[in-house]
Amino acid sequence: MFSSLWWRVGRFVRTSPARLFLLAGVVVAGALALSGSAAPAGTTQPIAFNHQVMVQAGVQCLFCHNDALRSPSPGMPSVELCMGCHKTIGAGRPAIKQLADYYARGEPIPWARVNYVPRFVYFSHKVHLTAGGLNCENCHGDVGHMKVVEPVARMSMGWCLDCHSKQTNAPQLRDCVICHR
Amino acid sequence: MSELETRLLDRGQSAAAAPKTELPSHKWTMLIDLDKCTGCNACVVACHVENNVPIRSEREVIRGHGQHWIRIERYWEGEGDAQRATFLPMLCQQCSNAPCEPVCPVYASVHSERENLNLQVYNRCVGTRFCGNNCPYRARQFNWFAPQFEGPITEMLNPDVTVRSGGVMEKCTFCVQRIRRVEEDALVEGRPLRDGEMVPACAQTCPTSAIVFGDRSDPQSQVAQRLGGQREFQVLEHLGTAPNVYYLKAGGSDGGAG
Amino acid sequence: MTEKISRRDFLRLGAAGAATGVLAGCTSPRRWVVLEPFVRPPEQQVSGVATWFATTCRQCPAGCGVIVRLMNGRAVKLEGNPEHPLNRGKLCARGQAGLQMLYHPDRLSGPLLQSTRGSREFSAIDWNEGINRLFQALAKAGPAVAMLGGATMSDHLFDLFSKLLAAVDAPPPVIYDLYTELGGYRTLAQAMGQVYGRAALPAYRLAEADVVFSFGAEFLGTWTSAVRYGVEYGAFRSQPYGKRGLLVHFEPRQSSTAVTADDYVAIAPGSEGLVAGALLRLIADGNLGLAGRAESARGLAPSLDVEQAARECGIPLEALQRLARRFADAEHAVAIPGGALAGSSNGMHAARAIEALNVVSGNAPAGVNTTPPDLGLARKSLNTFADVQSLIARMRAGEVQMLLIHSTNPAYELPEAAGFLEALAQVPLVVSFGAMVDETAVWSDLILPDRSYLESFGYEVVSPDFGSPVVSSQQPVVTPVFDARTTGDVLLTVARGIPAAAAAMPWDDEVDYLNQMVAGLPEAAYPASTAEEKRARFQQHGGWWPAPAVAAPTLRPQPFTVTAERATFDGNETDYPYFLHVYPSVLLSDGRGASLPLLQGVPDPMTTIAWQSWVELHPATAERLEIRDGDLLRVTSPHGEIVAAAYVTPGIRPDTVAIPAGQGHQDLGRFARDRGSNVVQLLGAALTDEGGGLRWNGVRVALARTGKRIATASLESKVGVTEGLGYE
Repeated sequence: MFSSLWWRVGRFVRTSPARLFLLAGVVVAGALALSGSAAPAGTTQPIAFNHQVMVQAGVQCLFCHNDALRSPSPGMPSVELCMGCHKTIGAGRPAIKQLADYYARGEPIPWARVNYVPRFVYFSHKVHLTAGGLNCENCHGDVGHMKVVEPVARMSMGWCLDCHSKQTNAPQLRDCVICHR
Repeated sequence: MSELETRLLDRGQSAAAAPKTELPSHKWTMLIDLDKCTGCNACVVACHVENNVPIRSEREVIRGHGQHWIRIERYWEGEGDAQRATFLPMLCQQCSNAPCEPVCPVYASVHSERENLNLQVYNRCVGTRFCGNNCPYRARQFNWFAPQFEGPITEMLNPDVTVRSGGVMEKCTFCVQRIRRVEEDALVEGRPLRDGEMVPACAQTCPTSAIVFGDRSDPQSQVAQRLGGQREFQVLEHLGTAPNVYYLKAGGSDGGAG
Repeated sequence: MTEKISRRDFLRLGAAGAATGVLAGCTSPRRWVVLEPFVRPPEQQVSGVATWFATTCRQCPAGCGVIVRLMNGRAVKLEGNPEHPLNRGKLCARGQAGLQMLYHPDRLSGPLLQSTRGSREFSAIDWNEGINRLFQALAKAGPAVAMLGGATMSDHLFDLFSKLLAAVDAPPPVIYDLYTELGGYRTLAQAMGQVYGRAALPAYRLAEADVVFSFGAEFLGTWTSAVRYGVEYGAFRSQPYGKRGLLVHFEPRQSSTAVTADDYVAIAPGSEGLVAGALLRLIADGNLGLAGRAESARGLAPSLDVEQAARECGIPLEALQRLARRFADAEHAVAIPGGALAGSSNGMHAARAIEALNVVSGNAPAGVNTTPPDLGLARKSLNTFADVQSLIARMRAGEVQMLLIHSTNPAYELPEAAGFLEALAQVPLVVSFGAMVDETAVWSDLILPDRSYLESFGYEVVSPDFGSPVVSSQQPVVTPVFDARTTGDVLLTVARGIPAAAAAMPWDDEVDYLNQMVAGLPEAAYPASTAEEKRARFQQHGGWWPAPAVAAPTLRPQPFTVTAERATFDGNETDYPYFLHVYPSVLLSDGRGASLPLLQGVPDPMTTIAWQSWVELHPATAERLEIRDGDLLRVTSPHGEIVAAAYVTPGIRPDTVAIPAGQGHQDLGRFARDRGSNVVQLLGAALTDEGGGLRWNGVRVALARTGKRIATASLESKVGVTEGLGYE
């Protein structure tokens, strides 16, 4: 697939060299578009999930995202975990009914990703939260006041490095190998 | 400046946000005892599985596009009927003066000061192949085509390692994903790395334990203890590449500690 | 009014327009970043953190312990089980490739029916119908059922098959495959029985040996347990106080074991026993070595003329004398008989002659010098090729109404002269339990695909056992990838409808069976008090083994006689000038590895060729016949012919050509099909002189150029390889 793409690009440029500029523009714009992390504002989720309600009810981040301290991945709560509470709490509400339907069908909920780093980047929640001394809101913003979660930072390499380069006692944090492997 | 950035900046200046443990740097070193290498290829297959290295088709191998991060090179020694084969496992030598690094126009081939490794940053690589051309060990492998993993074989891809696309150069990383995993574990537990904790896939599976891996900067480590012997040599050491892979000549023994 | 747009502006606009297009194309990152949580998470599952399960490798019969790394329910890496007494945390190339056995794209999903054998036109049926057909056929066939199994079949499955066959008064399963025949398992075990009184696969401890004489035993490549021998070899080379063991290897071809030896002797094919006999004679007559050695040798040495023997073996007499002295002088000297000699006409004699050297040095191998404890578990015993021949005779005579085939591929592995396929035509129903369509499944009527070894339960009583018994445990590590069903459960389901079988096999399913078997095991090296804990620990640790203890030898060598002569070969020297040396490929072994791209695409250590098969010949032979690398040669034996590419190498005797087993499949999936040629087609179906083994190391061949060439897919020098491919 890639080879044929390259071949097409090559032909595209060869037929009219001026197109090289056009191509460069496309590449730059594409890179800009891809380097960011954010899903577009207002991404619709399969269930209208409200983080604010959960936090106000006293549910901690780690109650649902319970792998964040022990795994690179924070963990998306299983449908079973949601149902643990929502079998009774708010059982009559439409969104909860939707959840119960997923559970009854044995289907995973296809959540749209909100915060995103590219696939060639390795980010560990565990290290940032423990050894790094960060909190969830340092990167994810004040999720407790968001009805619909939106990214607060474009998780580009520059943004990561902004923080990494300021860790004066650990200059190695600027090393490529920290995130790329 | 956004609110978040301000907050992060504040944290960066306060002691609380500083990593709780010092991040030591390492001199990762591999020692290959040719007296024990039997050419069994276990390391080669282990490496393919661990690092998602694609298997190239017969036609590609014929064109010289076979892809292995570690390979068993077979040489002949002697004359006539006394000719005997010898094996030499060849992989990226992780040179301290790496010829591949200065020629990369996009800094995709860079040196890690922290781990003392040669890195290949795949998302930077534009496929000029200058680095592969300049490598005296032929350790770098170019993806002439995007890799193909058919059907459910994709299920066995290691999620810790990037699957490289077509047009990208790749090479042995000393299993950097394993290095990072044990380092992160040690960091979180607030302790230094233990010798033998970090084992690359080739060394882990090697039936004869011909491959030994460790941190040379730790004088108590097994590699540090075994370095400096009579049998030690480095491949093409006269080129001044200062590799971090050491070989021990066949036909002798260090012996156990007794 | 028209606005003038400069070229520069135009380009800028164009770029902006295109960029919008790109952005529009990316507005839906959801397409590939949907997050799907588990509905009900598996126990102890932490996403992004690996879990490990212990099980047993089934790529060869040895039974190494493996641990499997799972990420989010997917098996992503196999490692050796560091606790396992056999392989001690190590694994070979074939073991490492095991995941592709699990995730192979050509595995079967659901049972298949083939209306015309050999047509390769299968129709899918559901499991109920498949099992029903098996049951009805079994009920109809009565005692006219036969079963042919391979050595990698789990011992629990062997027990279930045996019980089912016994219940219908049919003869017990016949266990035979090419892998164990090329390794000489059965012949060597029989020879051990004659020497020590216990017929089992010998296990040679090398870690403390001073001198090891290997008689064509490729113990660092494929022989019995290459992983364990690798571990032993590593220790052998770096012993305490700087001591380094010395390895001498006798073989007509430089194998990877020969290459790592200190002293490689290119002996004439079929002369291993003669070399051993001559060494015994020299020790006896020369009064060589440590006290008692010469005396012991005198009781065993055959009468022969040493000078003539040296000539026949192709070793100078002085070298032979030097070797005899070296063996006799070493305190801890070990002689290892290999698989090739077991396939020679005089296999049993040669194995006894070599074992006599161990008797002289006083180092009996482990596994045959002690009586094993009774574990109350059934275990496979291998059958001889003669047993297979009598099965084929029964099939031909129409005494077999139904043939069950599991873990073996006779249509590929047996020489044509054995007449398996002709006899198969006389069997009304052939049932294959293969996970993929192999050459045998193509000639069967019903395929009931078994699960891969990483998806099924089982146990294996490890053989060779290096001094203490080991039962290796097998358990599923992932949820099944395909709709295959474990043969154990299929058999138990069928047995319920046959009263005698139902009585003999009272278990609900194979897990129930295994639980009861494991509960009866004696105390293990790890603590386990209750029966439940015992079962859990059995799976957690990867098996059962007692706390390490050196079992005192209880069996002593018995009187036996040693004869030494050279093996005979089919074909006369003028028509067939070259000895054929067949060997199992380090990667593909007997051909079962050919289905896996990981084993096909990794270069053979000696030739550096991947994906192909080849004929190794000496430069002098090549020069005489004007053969270059890649020339397609017609190799003819008295029994058949194949075409294979030439590979010129100094690592072989001028009078010998070598061809690895493993390629030349017509089936076995997309990666194996139509690739190289199958060396078994050059072999006859004659038996060895004693013991009923297949005489596979006893054929001479002729070479002829076909005039065609192929490009060699080798790793080494690529000069000129584009010739013949149609492009330069």
